[in-house]
Amino acid sequence: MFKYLLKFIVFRTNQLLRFCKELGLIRLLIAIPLFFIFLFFLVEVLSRIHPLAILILYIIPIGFFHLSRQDFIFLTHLKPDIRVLHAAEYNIATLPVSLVAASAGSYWIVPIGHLLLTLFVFVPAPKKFRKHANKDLAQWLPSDLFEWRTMFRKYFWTAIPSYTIGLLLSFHLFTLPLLVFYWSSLIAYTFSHIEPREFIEQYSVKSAFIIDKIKNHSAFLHTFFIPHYILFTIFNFEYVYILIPIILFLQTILLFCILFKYYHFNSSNRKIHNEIPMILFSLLTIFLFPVSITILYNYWRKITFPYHA
Amino acid sequence: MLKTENITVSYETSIVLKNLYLSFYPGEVHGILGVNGSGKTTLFRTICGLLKVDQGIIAYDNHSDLSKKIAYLETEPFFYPYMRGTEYLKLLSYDSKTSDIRLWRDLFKIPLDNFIETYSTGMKKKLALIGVLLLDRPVILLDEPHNGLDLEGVSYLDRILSELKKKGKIVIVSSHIVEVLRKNCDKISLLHNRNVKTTLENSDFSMLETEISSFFSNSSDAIIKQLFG
Repeated sequence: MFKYLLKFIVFRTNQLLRFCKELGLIRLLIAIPLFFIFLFFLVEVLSRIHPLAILILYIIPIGFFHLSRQDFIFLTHLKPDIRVLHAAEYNIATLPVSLVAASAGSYWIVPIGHLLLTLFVFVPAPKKFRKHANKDLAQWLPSDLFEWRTMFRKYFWTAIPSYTIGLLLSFHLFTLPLLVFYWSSLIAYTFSHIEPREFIEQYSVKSAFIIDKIKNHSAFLHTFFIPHYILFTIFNFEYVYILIPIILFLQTILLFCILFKYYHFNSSNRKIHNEIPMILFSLLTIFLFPVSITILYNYWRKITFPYHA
Repeated sequence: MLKTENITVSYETSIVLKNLYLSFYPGEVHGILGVNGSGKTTLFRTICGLLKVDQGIIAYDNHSDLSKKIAYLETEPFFYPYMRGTEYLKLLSYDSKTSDIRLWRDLFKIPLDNFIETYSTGMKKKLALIGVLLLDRPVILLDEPHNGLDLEGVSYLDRILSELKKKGKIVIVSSHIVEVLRKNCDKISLLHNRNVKTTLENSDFSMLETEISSFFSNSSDAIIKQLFG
């Protein structure tokens, strides 16, 4: 069985390397140090809140990934047990967190984190969350926000609890930034599906379609986050200026996800794989904001260029 | 033998399959025919263990653990990004020889060294089908396998089904196209109103049209006339 497990891990590693190759050496040289700096920052912040809070860095990203997996059938076809495959993947994927946590002095959290992840694979597969859509909330949204409808249908049990916990813990300065960072992954999912080409062809000019899209989705997203903005202002009035970068970050991520989707739009694909590009882009937005604006501008220019496919 | 005994499957409050009994025998290609939403995919997913039954039993040779007995071809198979066709097949073909993969490649003419995202819908379907066949499991579930295949692919699939039958596999094929099933199956079960309306043997396939016509709404003729004046 170990041989087959190794085969699977080698494939997953190759996948990552291919993605890195596509990204390019220069971008990687920028993104990797930024990623570790950001991780180090998060570990520091969380350990100040509570030493065990570092476990969030193990559980939340992996939990979100676990609950959104679509490879269940494929994995049941492989020789090793699906839980063994999950455990191997999750423990390897969180090695950077362990490395940073250990180097920040919290080495004792590493075995606890990996033990939790190993136990996490016994959490039942998320099938019931996928098929039991929360239609009420989804139907409440206007039909032109169909991307959000899909997201709420599929990720109701990760989106709404995180949103509510965010409201309950809004007295803490770091809650909103962490929540927004978490929600950026949901935004990436929201804009990862391709709609029929006819939706776009209703517009004679592609830029008009994109502008409409940006307007509608920005209005929705910020309206949805207004309770958070208000509570943040009430509880952290002396740091109210932090709201500006938070809102800018959220808006930039939304713009990136929309532009990335229509830049890679191809009606023969059903899905855009934007997760890792979005993570790298969000790191760029935090550390090199002007660069991220340049990227957005480039996408915009290429999308609206009349002869772009 | 694979059997489903008195199974009921529901999504929240809506029951999709109710008190369903079916038996599938080795060396038989068993067709599942039904209109869209009749529960064909739900039945397949339930047999695979992807959906839980509210009641009833699914057993293969009197064992309820079917996890490594079934190979399932989904209507829209899943593929990882940045994955080559060869890698997909090598991960699935743990007990098969590498030469088998080459033979399959030659038969279906799939560019296995290319990334799967560059494949057409038909190629993806062929690749997933090869993957399912390489698993060499005793029960093979094919959910609408003909969808997206070209003429050549359909012809090969028909021959493959007949070979699987000879090898004593239990093959269950779903479709909403009568001709596809009529040509390949030894038995056809008609799913309607959350249950099996009837199961016809090969010799009774002439009754298929009559059985199917009862599925359709009586008012459909009037509506079509009204629409086209």
